[in-house]
Amino acid sequence: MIEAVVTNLMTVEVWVGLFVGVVGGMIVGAMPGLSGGMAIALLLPITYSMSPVAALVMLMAIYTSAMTGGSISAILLHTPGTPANAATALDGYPLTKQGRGLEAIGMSMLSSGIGGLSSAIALLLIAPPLAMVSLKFSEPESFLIAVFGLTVIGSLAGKSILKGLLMGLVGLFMATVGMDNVTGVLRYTFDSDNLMNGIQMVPALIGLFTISIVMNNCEDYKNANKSLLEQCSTELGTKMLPTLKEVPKYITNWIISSIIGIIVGILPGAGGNIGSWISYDQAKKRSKHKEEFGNGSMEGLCACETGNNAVTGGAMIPLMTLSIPGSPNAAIILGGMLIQGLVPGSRLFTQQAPITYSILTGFALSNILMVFVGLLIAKYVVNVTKIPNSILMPVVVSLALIGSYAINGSMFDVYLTIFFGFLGYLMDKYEMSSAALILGLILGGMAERGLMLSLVMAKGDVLGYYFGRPICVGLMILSLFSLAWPFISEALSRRKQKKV
Amino acid sequence: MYFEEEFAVNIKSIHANVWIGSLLIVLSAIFYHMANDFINPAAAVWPKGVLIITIILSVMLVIQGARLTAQKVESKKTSTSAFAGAMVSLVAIVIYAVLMENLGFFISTAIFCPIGMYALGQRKWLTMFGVTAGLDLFVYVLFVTQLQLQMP
Repeated sequence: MIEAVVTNLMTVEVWVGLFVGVVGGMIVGAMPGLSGGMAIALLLPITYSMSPVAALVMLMAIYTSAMTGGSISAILLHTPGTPANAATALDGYPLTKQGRGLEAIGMSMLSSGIGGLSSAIALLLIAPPLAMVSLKFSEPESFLIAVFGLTVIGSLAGKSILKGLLMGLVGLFMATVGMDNVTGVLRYTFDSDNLMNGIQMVPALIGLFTISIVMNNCEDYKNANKSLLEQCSTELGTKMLPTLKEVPKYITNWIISSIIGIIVGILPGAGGNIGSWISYDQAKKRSKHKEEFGNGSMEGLCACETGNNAVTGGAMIPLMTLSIPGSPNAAIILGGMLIQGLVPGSRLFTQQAPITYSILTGFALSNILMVFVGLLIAKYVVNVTKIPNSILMPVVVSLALIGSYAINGSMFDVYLTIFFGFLGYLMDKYEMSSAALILGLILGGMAERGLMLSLVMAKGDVLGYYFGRPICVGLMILSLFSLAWPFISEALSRRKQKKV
Repeated sequence: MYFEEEFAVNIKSIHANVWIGSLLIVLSAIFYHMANDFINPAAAVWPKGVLIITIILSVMLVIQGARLTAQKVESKKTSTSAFAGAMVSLVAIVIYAVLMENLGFFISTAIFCPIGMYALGQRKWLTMFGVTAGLDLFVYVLFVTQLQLQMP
């Protein structure tokens, strides 16, 4: 088997596919509005003429590298390249303002590689038993996962948890605009065709995170001809990676965030968006320096990047074993597999095992290559922070707007981006969390669908139905604990202070 | 005159949370009422639930804002010139989007970018036009030739 894997991988076609996937994925991921899914869908027709191993390795390399590429723009420009990188911007951009942009990118690359590699190993070694877990998840569990995801708002709310919760609710409400998935009713569309598909997440994300920052930077227009570093009176640091003494500090974070990412990836429909937020929240709860989160925490950055890349392999587990994609990108990769005659199921790991394990090994290699490529380009891309804002801001606006347009080819998304940019600017002024709003928007659809369908499944006995499912009970306990943790933690620290 | 001045001063001293909470209550009530007109009442269950919780929390925010007002805690304020700078940038971005829709991406970008850079203090014409040309070229190569996107 090992010989067959090595033979399959040692071809020029595979390595070209690997390189194209990694570099292409990082470029596409770094562009706001473009996603790995878009790149995978566009390269799918090319895979017809490729061997199965080369084709699938390239597609999976794009998937994982796009998430990593998105972190570059999130860190340097506060512009998440993909929705999964929104959490990265919270701490990445403040680190850039502190002159630690290179260090942030280095940590991001390393953590992404570790997360992706962990999920690749999980995929290689324990895919079939892990796939059984995904079968136990249904609508009630989806609803409670969304609720658990929403408890993260407590970590994102900043000074005011009340305002954070309100913004989360605003996000949940915004997710109801458009056609209801369950009943097919058009809600709050105001007879507009453009709103039939609802408020798209990506224009909202670009507006809240990018346009609002541009507006903030334009407040000080007299100093706009200075670079970000000059405005913050800092210099670009030269440190890129954690030292050997610092590595043990991050090991627990890497392990736990990888596990969270893999589990979230296994759950159908959850995706990298949620994996990064939950990892971030858990890292903050464990951290001894909670005050740094949101203000430039390397632990926070490490957690979200590990979490979102660990989702990639996790999403492939139910895909390859049960034909259930764990994320939208995995669904597109399913198309690539079928083109190559690889049908998900037990045959993939038995009769077609040499091809399958070659692909999975190639996926693991892509994560390693991604780290090297990322670290190589880090020293060059970080020079963006030396460019004066007078040049950078118009370019960022241009890329943001065309990125919004690129999603559906609609100018409505561009105007939506601008609206959310204005909203994000006001929210920042009044200390309301954009991250909480985005989280509500991301989870709203999943929460509503899960709740409404589970009410039908419960046939009147809602409490009995929920309490009769062990995974639901576990998720309810987890959610309550996550909600209560800020208050428990504060009470414990007050007790400690009193003793002292 | 004295009453009007005192009223104007009192309005300004009200903490922002009161206004934000009140706005959210009004908007939530309006959307709640709109939900009654949905063809299928089942489609209104979730939005109404979310709006009710929003109203409850908004009332709490108003109460919190009223307390802060009584304690004479002031909301964070932005200077007029800073706010004006941000609003001018917003208007410019809106105009850019309108131009993009009517003239296409490349022409509108060729107008917006140099003007934007000049407004923000850049004075090197070679840099401005070089960056604009480079941006247009980059977007053309990536979006049009590689991703085959239909541009506005």
